[in-house]
Amino acid sequence: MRGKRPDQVRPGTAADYEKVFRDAAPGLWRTIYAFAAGRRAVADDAVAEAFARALERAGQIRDPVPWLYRTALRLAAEDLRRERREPEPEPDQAAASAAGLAALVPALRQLSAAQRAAIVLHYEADLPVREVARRMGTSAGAVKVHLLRGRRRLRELLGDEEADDA
Amino acid sequence: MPERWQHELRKLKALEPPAGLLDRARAGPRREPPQARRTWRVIAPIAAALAVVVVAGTLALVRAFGPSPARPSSPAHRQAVRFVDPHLGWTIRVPKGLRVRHFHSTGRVTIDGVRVTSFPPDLRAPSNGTPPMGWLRSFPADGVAVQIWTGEGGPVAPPPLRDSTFPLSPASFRRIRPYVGGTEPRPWYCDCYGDGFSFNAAVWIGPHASRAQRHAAWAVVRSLRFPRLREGAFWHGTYYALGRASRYPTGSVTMFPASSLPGSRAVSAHVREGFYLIHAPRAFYVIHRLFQQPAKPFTQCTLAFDRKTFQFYCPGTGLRWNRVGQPIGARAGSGPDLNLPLVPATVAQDGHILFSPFWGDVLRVDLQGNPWS
Repeated sequence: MRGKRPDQVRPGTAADYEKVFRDAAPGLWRTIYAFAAGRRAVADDAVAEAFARALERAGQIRDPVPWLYRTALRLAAEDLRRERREPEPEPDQAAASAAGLAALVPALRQLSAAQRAAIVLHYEADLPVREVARRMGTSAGAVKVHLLRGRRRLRELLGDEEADDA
Repeated sequence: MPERWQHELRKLKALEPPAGLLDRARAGPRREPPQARRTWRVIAPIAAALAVVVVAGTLALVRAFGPSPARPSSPAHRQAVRFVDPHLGWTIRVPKGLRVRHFHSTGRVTIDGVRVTSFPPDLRAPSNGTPPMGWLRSFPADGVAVQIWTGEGGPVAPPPLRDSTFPLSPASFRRIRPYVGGTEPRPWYCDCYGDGFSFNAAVWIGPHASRAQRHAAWAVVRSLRFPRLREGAFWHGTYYALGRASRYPTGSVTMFPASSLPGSRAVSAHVREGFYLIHAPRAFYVIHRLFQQPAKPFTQCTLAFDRKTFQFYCPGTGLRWNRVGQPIGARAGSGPDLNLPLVPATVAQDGHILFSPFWGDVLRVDLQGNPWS
């Protein structure tokens, strides 16, 4: 019998979702944080709302983690669209600096939202392209294009020299 | 070894979501679910039609039997209201949950305006400015506020070439420094014009204001409307309301005789002979028909316009001017300043042309360059 990945478990109760939350929320929140280019409020709202909706539909969602990603990404995209009409506070630059992201957050802002999502899911969450596509609700081909363009832009913005991890 | 951008990306791992997200999720969804929105799209036209009927009926009843829903002097309250400025008649719509209060302060300058807040402002806080801004010093982090005000008695603002574009949007605003400091957030500020009158609008958004509160604050700004003008009126004792801009083609010169202007003799000596309205590519402006030479030999005449040469002239005197009021011919450059003052006319928010007869010989105003270039 093939084992199931944690994200393939179909939770039926609120208690199950709490486990999904513990496992998936940090990665989901980081993805939305990057997708929203450092706007913590957008990430907080989108993740909380996505889980709230999932809890409301407990037992009806076949594959909760990709569902949560798609929902949170859509909610965050709505917020970013609204932001174009209404100025919002700048991304919390002090907090980004404190987290060592002073270079990354401004660079992410230069990418499109889809490029940001693809880059973070693939390179930060280490998901394969097909899984990235599933979580973004798009095709693998589209994800490859987003990755290609996102990588190219990040290299331009942050330099293409190799970093020393030590 | 990873490239630098990959290295930077890995730093995201250090970030953790804030505590309390699960509690927020347990409290249930806050937004309208997508399915409900689709349903709403179907019923929206019906609901809108019904709402129009209900609102029109309610308004008619209220007008017939009750006081207006938001008197400017009414105390702060928590119902959705329409505020009407008692002086200039502009209106705003204040969403439910925000407080609105009209204020009037006199000092060196008389200020009239409205203050909309999501919290009870501390109006007893000491303040030196006009209008009093001391209440901003203890601005709650999750609060929002909007203030719209006009002033009289300060430096006279010349008529603008054009009103601000309505509805106002955040793009009409710029960030300025806080007025009083303390916990006051940096305001968004607009120096705007409506129906030819200058007014100020400022929006404050606390760093932890909710999305709904921010949206409500900007909704107040977007709802600002000025009254529609009526052609032929002398608007608030300041502006003649002429026809719509589209009626005067670019390059046209239109004469307004004194007889077409309400109370022209009482208003200003400048307009006792009427004026010409000129539509240049960059602006509308006015040249008064009455010409009075300021020094000897004290010539006075009623200007005529020569369409063939596009020149203004004093019949029987040899005095001629080009389209921007500069003297030409034999008398150009000799003796006193013979320039005809150009007075800007304003394209109002609803397309009418406004012209203030109080500007001219004494109160001269710069048209910001050649209106024909």
